[in-house]
Amino acid sequence: MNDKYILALETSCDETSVAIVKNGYQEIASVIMSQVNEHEAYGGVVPEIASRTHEKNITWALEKVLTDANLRLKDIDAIAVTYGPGLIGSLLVGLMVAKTLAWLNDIPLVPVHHIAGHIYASNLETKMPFPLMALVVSGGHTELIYMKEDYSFEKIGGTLDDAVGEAYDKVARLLDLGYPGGPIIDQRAQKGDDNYDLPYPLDDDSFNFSFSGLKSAVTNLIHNEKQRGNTINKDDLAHSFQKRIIDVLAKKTIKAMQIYQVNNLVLVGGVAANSSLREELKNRCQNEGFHFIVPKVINCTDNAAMIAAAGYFALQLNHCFDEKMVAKSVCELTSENE
Amino acid sequence: MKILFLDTASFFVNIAIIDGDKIIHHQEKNDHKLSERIFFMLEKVFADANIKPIMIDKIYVTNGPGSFTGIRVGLSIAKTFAWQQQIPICALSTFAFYASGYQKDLIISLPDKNGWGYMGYYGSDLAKKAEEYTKIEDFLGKYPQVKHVNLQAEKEPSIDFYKMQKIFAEKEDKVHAIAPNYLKNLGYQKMTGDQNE
Repeated sequence: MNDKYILALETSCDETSVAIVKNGYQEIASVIMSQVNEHEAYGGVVPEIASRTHEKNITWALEKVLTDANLRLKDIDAIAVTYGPGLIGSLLVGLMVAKTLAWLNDIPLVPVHHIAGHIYASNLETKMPFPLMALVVSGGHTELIYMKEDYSFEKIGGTLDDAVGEAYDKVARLLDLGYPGGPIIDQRAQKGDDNYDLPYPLDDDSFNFSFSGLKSAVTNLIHNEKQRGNTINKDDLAHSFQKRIIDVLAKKTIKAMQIYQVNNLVLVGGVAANSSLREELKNRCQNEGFHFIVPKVINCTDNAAMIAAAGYFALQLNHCFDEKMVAKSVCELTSENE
Repeated sequence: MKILFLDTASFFVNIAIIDGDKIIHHQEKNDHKLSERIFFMLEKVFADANIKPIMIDKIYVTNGPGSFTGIRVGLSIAKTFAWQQQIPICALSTFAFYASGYQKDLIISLPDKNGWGYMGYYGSDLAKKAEEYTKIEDFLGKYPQVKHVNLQAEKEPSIDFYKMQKIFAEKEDKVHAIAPNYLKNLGYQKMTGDQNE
């Protein structure tokens, strides 16, 4: 079989990324332009600023990736692009550029669901074994996905309100720790102990998650302590907050694996960069005799290489765009619409 | 010389190809399905002009003001097109684009909300005299003698593509550096210590 080169674009949130991947697993070149500096002053991603920055960066990123790869567009077999879910204005920039490239070069345009991309980031390092359970945790997502085989997705649980990364950002803001919240809270938590009595969020038999109540509990706790004239030990509060989150994520993930009888766990998404979460899931998998896969941090956060890796399988299954296909801010990951 | 014009920034979508003395122009109202419709329109115009995209020698694109999304759809396509084909690209003001259809100085307004609008005062030579995002009445009050065109109220604005081609023949922009002219401030509040209390 001939080598297949896929060029992918990912602009669903606050990274402008373009990558070229060969045969679905071999990363040839990748450009990731983070917008953290643009959004830092606002304590979160401002959608209009994200769209504007993508528009400013995108052709530059395209040129850079082709230069780095030492390839030309005529060497590319297909274009893959994130069509959703994400910020609609941001998605649209990537989608319009991708459509233009596919149109001018007369090559297929493959739509990739952002979550499918996150999961396939694993393939950039080792071929995923099936069946598997994927825990996708990021600033916009908290989902448990069961995969029987390549490109088959069954969502068995997800967050009912805030995504886990969102909860980190909001609590970091409450504690005045800065942005993005994930790495900062993780760091502070290492220095603290579990000295604050916070509730375990949605500690039930379902595979769903809920983090907004935990965030409210932190808000109330800070408020009450202030009323009493006590100072908050930020390290301890970060520790207690993170412990609740990781406990419930790990507990439900392991239980889902037992019930669905799978031995392979894939941890992906931006929050998969969290060292305590990695450590906890690694230990629990070891205890259960499960195989634990977590990509390098650079592949866990939003990037286009993962979209190309997923796009390779989408292309094989002939999931191609028709011209009418649009960006979607909200869309479930199912085998049918993939 | 084969030239592509692309304008998706405001109340209309305009796609035109000039091929010598032949011109193919497609115009329609811009609705919320722009991103869905735009490639159908592009393909139709290229089919009607009977040329292939790779034969285009230069692109003109409007870079605002107008709808933020509309501006980005047009620019994303035009920038990618020009970059891939390595052809010159020229960004035009939405005001200059529509002013081309008139023989005199005029004010073009793109109404936004609550009596505010994107206001442009342009000369018959398509050069900017003044533009700002402000109350429509206020801007018109400053230039009472100047003809005013409310673009939103127009049915089929006429556009003189040859005039633009002539006036902007020498104007070329660097593809990676083309900046949208949003004209309106974002109005987001940056975080301050007080808001964290």
